[in-house]
Amino acid sequence: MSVDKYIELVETERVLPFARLIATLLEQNLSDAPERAQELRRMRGRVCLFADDLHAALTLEFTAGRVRVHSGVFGLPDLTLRASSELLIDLTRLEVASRWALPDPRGPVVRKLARALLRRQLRIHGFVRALPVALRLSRLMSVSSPAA
Amino acid sequence: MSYRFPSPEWTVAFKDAVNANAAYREAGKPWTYGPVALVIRAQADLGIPQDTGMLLDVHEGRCRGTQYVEGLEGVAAAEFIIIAEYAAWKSVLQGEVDPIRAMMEGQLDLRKGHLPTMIRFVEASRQLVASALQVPTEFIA
Repeated sequence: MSVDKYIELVETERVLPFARLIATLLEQNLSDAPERAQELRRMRGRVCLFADDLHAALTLEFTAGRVRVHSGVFGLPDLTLRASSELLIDLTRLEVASRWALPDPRGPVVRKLARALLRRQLRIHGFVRALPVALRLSRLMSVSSPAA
Repeated sequence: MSYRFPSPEWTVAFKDAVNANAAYREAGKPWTYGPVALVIRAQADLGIPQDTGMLLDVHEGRCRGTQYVEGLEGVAAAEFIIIAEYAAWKSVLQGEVDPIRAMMEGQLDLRKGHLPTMIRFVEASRQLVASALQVPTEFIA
């Protein structure tokens, strides 16, 4: 298994490029902004990302301050995000209202994703129950400059 | 007149297309992260005997220069190196596959470079593809 201090890409017979990319993204985000590790320490549960156009899924398993990235669906997800690969990547580009680190409703990417939600091009299952996980996940995956 | 892809002539035509693209100028304006290399893997049956790269000196929305190089050593100085098979480049440069999607599928390999930065500039990447669509291109296969 490939092991980083916080991220583990679970090596199975077939590691999806999608999973490898998300693992790399998380790894580099944490390297750029180590304070994000605090978010990671508070996270528990499983998040599944489904890329419809890739016919691929991955599961992020958060436990004990680490995240294991599984190719495919692993266990029962607490939160599932299902969309095209473009929209999933847009989730990492959400503009953030810096005061509370919440998505900025004025941002073009936030508005695009809101439209996608209304059109059911982006589907989120378990959002209400796993809201804290969803918010922390958005902060972990955000590609906003650390200074922002 | 069409330009063979890849070739030094295509690389120069691509640079001109990038600089003529106002949308790229806007999307790429914050880019100060250094040159980007697009590398085609060697494929002898296509007449590409070794890895072949196009080094793009992109900065603040403009392409200041390009270099056509053979061998990975020629692009080693680039801050970002993206490697793919010829067929993958063809799909991306013809607008058939989104570049980020191609990365998520493993068709494009970000061999060197900061992934969060690359994702932050996804619109600039798409405008580079839009620029490539303006270059009359002759693909080998």
